[in-house]
Amino acid sequence: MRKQTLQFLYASLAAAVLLLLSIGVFTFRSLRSLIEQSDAIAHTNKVLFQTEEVISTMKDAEIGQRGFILTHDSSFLKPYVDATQYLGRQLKLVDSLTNFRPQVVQRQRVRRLFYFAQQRDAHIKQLLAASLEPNRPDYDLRLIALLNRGKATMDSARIVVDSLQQTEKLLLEERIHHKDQLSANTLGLFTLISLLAVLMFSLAFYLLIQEIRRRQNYERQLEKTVSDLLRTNQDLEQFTYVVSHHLQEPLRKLQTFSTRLVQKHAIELGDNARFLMERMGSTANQMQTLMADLLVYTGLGLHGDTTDFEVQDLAVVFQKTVENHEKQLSAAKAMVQFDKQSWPVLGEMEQLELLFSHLLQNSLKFVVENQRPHISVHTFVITGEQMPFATQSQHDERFVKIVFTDNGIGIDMQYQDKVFGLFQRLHTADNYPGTGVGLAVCKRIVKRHNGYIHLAATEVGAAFHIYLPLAN
Amino acid sequence: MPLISQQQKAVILMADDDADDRYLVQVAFEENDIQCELLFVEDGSEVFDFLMGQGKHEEKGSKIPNLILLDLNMPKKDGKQVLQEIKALPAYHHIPVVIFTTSKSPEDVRQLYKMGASSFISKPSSFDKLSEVVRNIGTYWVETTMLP
Repeated sequence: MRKQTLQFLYASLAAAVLLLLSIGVFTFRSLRSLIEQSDAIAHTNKVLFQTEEVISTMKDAEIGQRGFILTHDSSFLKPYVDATQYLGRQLKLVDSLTNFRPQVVQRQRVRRLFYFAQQRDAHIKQLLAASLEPNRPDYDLRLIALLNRGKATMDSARIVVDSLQQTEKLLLEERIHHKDQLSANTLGLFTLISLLAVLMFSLAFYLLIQEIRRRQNYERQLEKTVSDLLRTNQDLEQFTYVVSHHLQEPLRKLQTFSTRLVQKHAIELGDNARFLMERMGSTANQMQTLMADLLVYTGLGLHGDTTDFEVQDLAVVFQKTVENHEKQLSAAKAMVQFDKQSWPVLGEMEQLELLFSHLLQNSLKFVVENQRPHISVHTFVITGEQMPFATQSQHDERFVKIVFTDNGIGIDMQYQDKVFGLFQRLHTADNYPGTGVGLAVCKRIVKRHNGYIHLAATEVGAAFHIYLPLAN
Repeated sequence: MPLISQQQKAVILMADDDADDRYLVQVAFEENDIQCELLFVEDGSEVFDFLMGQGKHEEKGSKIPNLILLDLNMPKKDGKQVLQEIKALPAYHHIPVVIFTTSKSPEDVRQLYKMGASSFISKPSSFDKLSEVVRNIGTYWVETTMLP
């Protein structure tokens, strides 16, 4: 479901982007066509205008010529002189306008217009010359003949221009129609694609928001679960602590009554009953030890927040622990070697002492027969990267590595996880007394101090590696 | 020779809700022949009834014991509360209070001495040990020290 939504989201986003791109390309091409069409229309208009100008200039020349013939006043010749000047330029312009056209017919017409304009100019010159000889007997006849020829040429020019304009007008109509169609199409398609793009973006946006909401919900749920879990854990620890605390009371009384019974009524009981009572007593004692250990173990977690931790000197902690076990150590004739490095670690003095105390007791308990216990503690600083089981965030931190070794009977590496379990024992209580809580307590303390403890492989005895974060 | 004369036997008040414990302590006191008057109350608030001569103790009137043996886990008012209130009342705060409890928690020990407890004794689990503890209480509090 989630994967599908994501795929759909990506697809609609991609579609929206593609649509936007096509809008760009399409708009560019349409605009270019529209501009081309507009240029063509403007061109046609220019041709129409210029051809009309040619005719009008030719008329101007004719008007000037008529005035002069009638009056012989040279001022009438001014429009004629101007017209002949303009006409050349105008004709060239028309020529250039139609030059690149593929329409051969229009070109031919322009050439004919050229021809008629030249003819007309020649006629006017002849007429002007003839009008200056009024004494010639054929004056009138010549004049009339020349006038007729001029009119004929003019009519022909008119016809040529008309046909030229007719063609251009048709072209203009066609082009305007084309342009209108193009505009309508462009607008329609542009609107359609834009709407589609908006639709796709809205869809993608909707999916995105849904996905974000879903994740927010999930996050909230996760937070709630985590806090529930933490609370349940705390409740459970509290429960274990309170239960073991309260169970101690009746147990203690059972022990007191049974010892009282044995003591006060020894004679009446007889050997057999006394033996059974003693067994009961030692079982009760064992249970009491277990509960006391359980109390210590669960009590570790109830010691408030780790924010109360203070900087402790590792050398001082270890020195104190050794002093506390002076009697035991000297009774066992144990040798303790410690490099006395004053590394600062954040923690609780009592718990750190308990950690070393359990390790020391362990070493003193599991000794090889007829051999002096030899315990050595070496410390050095390493980075998180060099530490096994380090998380990514611990890589830049610095840790104190404590190598705790003895020359005792050692622990088989196949039990490396089991030895840290609560009440886990590798030997019978008859051979080595104890409840199997020591290393579990060690692990708990180290964990509470954000460190790691593990059993290390060694040739002689047992070796524990403990990592504690170095205080700044 | 006892410092307190026979006419003025030391009064020890034991506050404990557990009848078995009261019985065992009484037996231990009798067997050790401790020269004192051992009286019992069954919960925290009864301690104050005893001291002020109220409720159950109205007829006997107010009585100031020379020593209080105080259990921690009691209904109504627990031992810590009782100790706190006794030490806050000028009329009673001179009475030595000995904590006599199952708890062995170092936290409790520290806290209760801080609150003004005179001793902290953990209830032993065999009758022999209990008897020894009671004998020591007798030797120390009744025969050795001067009580107010």
